[in-house]
Amino acid sequence: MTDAALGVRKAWQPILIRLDEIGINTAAVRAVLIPTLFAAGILGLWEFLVDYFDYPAVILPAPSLVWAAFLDRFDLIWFHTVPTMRDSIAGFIVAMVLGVGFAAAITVNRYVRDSLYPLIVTIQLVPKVAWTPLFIVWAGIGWESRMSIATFIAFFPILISMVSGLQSTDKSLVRLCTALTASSWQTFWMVRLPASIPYFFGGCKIAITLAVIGVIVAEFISSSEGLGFLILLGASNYETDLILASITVLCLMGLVFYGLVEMADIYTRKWMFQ
Amino acid sequence: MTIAVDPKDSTLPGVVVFELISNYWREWAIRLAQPFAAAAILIGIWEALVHISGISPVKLPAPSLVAETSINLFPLMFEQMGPTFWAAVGGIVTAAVLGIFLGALVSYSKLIMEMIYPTIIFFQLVPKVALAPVFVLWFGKDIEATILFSVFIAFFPVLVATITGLASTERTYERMCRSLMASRLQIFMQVKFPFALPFIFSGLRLGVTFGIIGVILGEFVSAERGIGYLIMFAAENFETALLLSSIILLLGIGIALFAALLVLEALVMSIYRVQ
Repeated sequence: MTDAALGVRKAWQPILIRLDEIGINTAAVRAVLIPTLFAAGILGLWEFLVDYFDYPAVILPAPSLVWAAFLDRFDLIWFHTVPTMRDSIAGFIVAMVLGVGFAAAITVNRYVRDSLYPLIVTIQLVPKVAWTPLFIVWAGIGWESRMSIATFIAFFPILISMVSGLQSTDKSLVRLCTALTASSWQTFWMVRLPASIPYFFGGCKIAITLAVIGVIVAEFISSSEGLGFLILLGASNYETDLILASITVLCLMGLVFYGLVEMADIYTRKWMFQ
Repeated sequence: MTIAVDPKDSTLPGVVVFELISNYWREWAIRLAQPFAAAAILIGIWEALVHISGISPVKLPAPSLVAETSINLFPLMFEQMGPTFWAAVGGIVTAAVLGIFLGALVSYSKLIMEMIYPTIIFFQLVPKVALAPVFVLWFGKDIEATILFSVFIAFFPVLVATITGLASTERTYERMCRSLMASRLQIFMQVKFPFALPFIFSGLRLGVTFGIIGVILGEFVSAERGIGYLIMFAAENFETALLLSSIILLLGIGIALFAALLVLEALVMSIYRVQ
């Protein structure tokens, strides 16, 4: 470190200590403040450069224009947010049920697992979004196809993490249960399932982001509602401000979903370790 | 004239060796045979169900029909495979180079790391596929636009893995090197980077999958060439057998790229003698 940087740090030291004394967590403030300032700086730079060079708004609108489009057409954006939200959540919930169910079925028996698990891993090498048109052929262009593609995409991470979760159970615990003449159902319900909860939430965190992706891709391909449709509509009308506003709403939606799963994870852990 | 030989007679010379080898390989043969057997059974059930129920081939073509279509339309599919394959290779390689390079750059300074890391995590969590139409708007419909989108999708997992890997070096090694007067570059090249390699390769595995996703999505929205285009074309014309053949072809591409990555990983790891 250079002497100048050391000098700056020394000058700051008493202020930081004082802030700590009056009960402000400087490390936490720093962790929030620095990235926020960075993001704000990038947005400011973007706004300035677009204004300064008079860049066409069709290609890249300034952040202020995107914000204006968001306020102006909030009704339209909200109208299309609801179906996307509904299909993603529905698909995710079905994927959760199916993923846990299939994982339990696969891990029942070593032969079943050794036969099916490699197939599941291999099939994963095809990007699952490539299957979307097939679901539209099967289920039509309504919400059913969008929900089923969300289920299909979100299903695999939950299945895979649940399989490793159910297998990671402490062998001695399982043996103890057998010795105590617990039925295999009791062992599953009271030992193996609780032990796999952290894996379950790990899978869910990937699955919820994938569910949104599935719905968006399905809406790209064929739909007359949803944020994916709105983005495509904006692209065909060259309304880039509307596209970016929709994408921002979509990002917020994804983050809120992720946050909800994370909170469920934290509360379940607290509740389990009480 | 035949000599009756009891194959289980362990006094015979070759048999002991044979049993040693066969016991070792039998385990592997069973493990390998199981999934193939399961796949064969599942495909058999599928074929039987289609014939018994008489379901229309538009909804669900029988595996035999899919195989027939694959053979008949192979020239067409092969022609569309090229752009997808090369776009995926281009996207993945660019994303890998960019991800590792920027990861190293971000890890260089604590301040830059603090500034950028939350933004990177934000991009990891949001549905980036939503930007596909914007990429078409910005970069057109050429294969370069598809490659760019693939880079955009595949880049983040590699970047995050590199940052995590470089941060995971044991402090004692770093301190020892510094006390031996190693420069930062030397520490990076000889300590931090080799330690980060397993992380980087697990990021690259995600990168390969994501890169293919990016190419397919790019081809969905630009709809001019490639397997993504073929899938869309098949769906629009209700050629479900062609659709499934295209997906199988895509599986072939996925397996080839993934296998190439595993070979590369084994090579690099053997150079650094990391187990």
